[in-house]
Amino acid sequence: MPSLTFAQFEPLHRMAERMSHGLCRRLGLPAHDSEDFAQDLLTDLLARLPGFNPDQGDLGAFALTCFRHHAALLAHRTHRHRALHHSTSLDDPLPNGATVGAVLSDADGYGAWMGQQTDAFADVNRRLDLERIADVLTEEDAPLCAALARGDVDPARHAGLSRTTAFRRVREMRLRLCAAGIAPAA
Amino acid sequence: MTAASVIMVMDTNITDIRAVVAPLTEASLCTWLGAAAPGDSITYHRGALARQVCPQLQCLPEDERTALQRLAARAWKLAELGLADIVQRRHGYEDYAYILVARRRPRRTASAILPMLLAEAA
Repeated sequence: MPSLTFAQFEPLHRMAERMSHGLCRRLGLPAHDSEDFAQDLLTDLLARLPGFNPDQGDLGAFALTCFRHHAALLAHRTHRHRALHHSTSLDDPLPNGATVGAVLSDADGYGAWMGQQTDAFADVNRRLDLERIADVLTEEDAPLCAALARGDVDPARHAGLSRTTAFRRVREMRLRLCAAGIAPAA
Repeated sequence: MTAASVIMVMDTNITDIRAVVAPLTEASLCTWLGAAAPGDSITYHRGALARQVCPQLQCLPEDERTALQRLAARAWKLAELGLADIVQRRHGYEDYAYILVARRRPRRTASAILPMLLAEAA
């Protein structure tokens, strides 16, 4: 595709905006993030435009396919980022219209912001569980646990272990945790 | 409440959360110990363990022998960790019950990993 006229680009821009609005709604992000998403979608489309062949189909269909693929990638990245960093802003809106900061009190502490329970009994139970887990795990388990907690792509390599050794170590840890009464390890 | 309904209530089985379904595996043995109260016991094998895990004697098929060997080794490890005692009861010639008895857990032990995590955080 040698060049793109404004008349050709305008419907694609609208399509990208519609898709980015939908993406923001699905991900529960504020509306102003949709502009960033729209730019990402269009940049990705422009990078892929040299691969467009008019003989094989319409430009709109090509753009829609590109947008869909890239929107799926952006959604995956956002979910992964949330899972790893728990990046919840106090200004993030909740479905009922309030913000995250409005429903938290100072007494709830930092844990509540990070999505932890603020129930005192649950807190005591969690502390007891963590103490039992700390008793069970050893120093040599620490690098593998850290790699697993970070969500590394290849935790065995990051922990300096072969895959076989890492699988054996995880199996051994699970059994020790079960024996210590940590039921979720089963 | 009628007599019939009382009998029905009394006959209702209460599920034992510590009950282990056969066959016993390493994981189910560990899960049982995790939920066991001090003094609770479980017979993890009946027979002559030393003979049955010996590969040369071929008392059991290969997969059963491996599973039994793992189970016995796991019971030994749990005893070494101080979580349980292993005892055996003789029933007859080469007929023993191998029993794992849950021990009382120490209220608090010095963790090996916490000082390291604290040092990393500092």
